[in-house]
Amino acid sequence: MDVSLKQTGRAGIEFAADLGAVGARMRAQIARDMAGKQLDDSSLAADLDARLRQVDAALADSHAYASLGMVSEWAGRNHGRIAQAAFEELREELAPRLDALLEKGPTRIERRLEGDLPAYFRGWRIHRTTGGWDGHPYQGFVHGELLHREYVARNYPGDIFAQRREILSVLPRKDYRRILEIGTSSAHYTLQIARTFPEAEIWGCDLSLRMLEQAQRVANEHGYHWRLFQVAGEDTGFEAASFDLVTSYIVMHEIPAAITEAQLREAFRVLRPGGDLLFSDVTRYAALDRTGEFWAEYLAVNGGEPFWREAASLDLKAAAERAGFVNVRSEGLGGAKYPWYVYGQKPA
Amino acid sequence: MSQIDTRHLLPNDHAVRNDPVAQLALTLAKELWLLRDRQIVLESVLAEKGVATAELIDSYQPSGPVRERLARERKRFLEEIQSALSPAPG
Repeated sequence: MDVSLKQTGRAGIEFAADLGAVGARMRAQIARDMAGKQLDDSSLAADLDARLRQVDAALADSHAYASLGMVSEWAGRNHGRIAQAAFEELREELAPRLDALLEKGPTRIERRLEGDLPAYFRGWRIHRTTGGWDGHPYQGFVHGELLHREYVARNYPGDIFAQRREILSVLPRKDYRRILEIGTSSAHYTLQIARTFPEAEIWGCDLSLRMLEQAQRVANEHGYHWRLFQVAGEDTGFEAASFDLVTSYIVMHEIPAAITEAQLREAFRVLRPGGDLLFSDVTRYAALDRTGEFWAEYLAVNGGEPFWREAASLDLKAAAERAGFVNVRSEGLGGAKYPWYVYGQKPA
Repeated sequence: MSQIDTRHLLPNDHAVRNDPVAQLALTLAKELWLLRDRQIVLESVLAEKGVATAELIDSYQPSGPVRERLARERKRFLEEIQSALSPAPG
């Protein structure tokens, strides 16, 4: 959806986004400060918690370390508020357009969760974003179009939208008839799936109703008929052996590792024999050196990512094989470390 | 109730994160930037239309040289902040 932000909202988001570049330069200075303290892979503690404490103590006199904490704290507290404020400037104009996309078009949310949301979902304000996943009537739009497109995309390495398209190139088939996406969120990945496999029937599930509403808007705006459900990816209730592909993108680090394992088992159950699994996520800690792992953990914890460590520490190949998949591989796309993916097949 | 993960908060990191003056300084910097941006937009609206109203300023979509000027000025402003927070060694 084309949106023209008003001056205050645009300037606020641009300030917050470009503050991320300041943080990146501070990290470069911290790297030099660490080198000055002889902190490198040979001297950093093997245990990650001990390593965090080691760096924290060694950098007590580092202006860059203190400043990065200050700046990232401010970003964590304020990025959601700034995006919501930008939305409020446009609410009068935008709300009718957003509401219309829920009322008209082929895509509907076909089932809503009965009972409580799982504790792992409702217990955290994920990413420290004001409103979390559901805390604003238009949070799906705020997350997908303002935060993701205007804020995250400016600071995350590479083209985050192209990555969602390119990951699908690892799949061996083009003739999927029915695809299930676990964790549609605001549908940036769903859109790439639909464009890559135009003949496939797309099913999507998520626990956040606000995100599903945004997925519904995206589908209707583009004339797609997706089937959307507010159900847990580990307990969909969908018919066994009814999909050719089950996929997710950048979801696993938002959930406990035990839930990822449950989602792999559920994917195996709902896949037809010979069907494909493709789950993508953040870089595995096992693929990082001690310094890289320190930075991943620092940014994850302070970015409001309570499950990142256990997710990034999960051996995805072993987990997929435990679920029953064969021909499993777990690797970075194109030899890079991000995005990481696990691919497997249900035996034919 | 939602909360952030506090398992790994570290003494030195924790101290700066809980400094309200530091957070206030960055909030004031953001508010100052909103005004600086608005001033540049105001100048651009006046140059293009000869008149500036709040509505014209609010709805102005920077492009071309104005967008570049805003990006350049924002970069300079943020570098000033970085320099104050984390001065270069020596």
